[in-house]
Amino acid sequence: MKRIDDILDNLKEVETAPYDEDAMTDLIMSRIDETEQKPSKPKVIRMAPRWLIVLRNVSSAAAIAIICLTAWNFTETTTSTSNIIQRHNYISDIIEADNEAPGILYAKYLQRKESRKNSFTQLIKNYHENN
Amino acid sequence: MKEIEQNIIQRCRDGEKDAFRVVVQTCQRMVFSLALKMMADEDEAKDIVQETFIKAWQNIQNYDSRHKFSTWLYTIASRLCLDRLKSKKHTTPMPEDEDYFREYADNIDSQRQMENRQWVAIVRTLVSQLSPKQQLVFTLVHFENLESDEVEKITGLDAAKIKSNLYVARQTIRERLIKMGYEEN
Repeated sequence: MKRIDDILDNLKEVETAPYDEDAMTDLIMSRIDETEQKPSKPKVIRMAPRWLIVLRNVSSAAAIAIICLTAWNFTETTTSTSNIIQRHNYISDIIEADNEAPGILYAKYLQRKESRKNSFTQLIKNYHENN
Repeated sequence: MKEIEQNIIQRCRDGEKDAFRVVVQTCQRMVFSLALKMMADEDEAKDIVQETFIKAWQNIQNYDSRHKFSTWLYTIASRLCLDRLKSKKHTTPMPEDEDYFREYADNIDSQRQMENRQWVAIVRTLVSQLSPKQQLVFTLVHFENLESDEVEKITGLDAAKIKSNLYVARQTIRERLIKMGYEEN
């Protein structure tokens, strides 16, 4: 009886399945022609940021809307933040100048912002009169 | 396999499809033979043949003429086979495959008389149960009878990994043959 190693070392190539070489050659060459006629697929930008990939998948009108909304929101946020900082600085200045309670000075500031009819001196005067 | 002449390769690089037709006619049997052993399915093997030559045509500029053209084609075909095998679920042999072998294993006379082609059929069934990598190494070494340096180039594995894959493949086949009733002297 043959040893398994002998069997494995002497596996001769066997005849393959029925195969029409000419037909396969024609098929391969026609597929090559087809591949060359097809326009190549647009390449995916793999490294693009997520938002850019999202924008590629929406219509141009929606894309413009998203850009505008983002820009508007950004401006709003920036303005608001800037206002708060300005306001804070202004209050700080008043506190330093007058050495008064912050709450009172903030009230004065609001008053001043609402209407510039009354001068700051007038406000101080009113305050002293009321107290 | 008859090697392709360099002037034909050069004409392919220049975009001459008639030259590539010669390449297809000369090498397709070799690719089909490998693909059929790897995939164990005639239709899938034919698909692999087509894909291999389409890729070869598209990448002919990357072919390094210091190596054999057949090695390069084997490399493309092997990768396509491995990709397909990895995407397929692991298959178990049909019960009738094992019965077919048991008939011979039970009868000492028929074991002696068993022809090479029957052994090839049995071993091919067992090879299809190995991992894709073991399957590829075993097929290239035992069925295609390629030299080890060529197997290294085709698979991209170093000599040690080829040796270990081949050892495991042979051991697995040996164990299954014994389990199915084959007895060694």
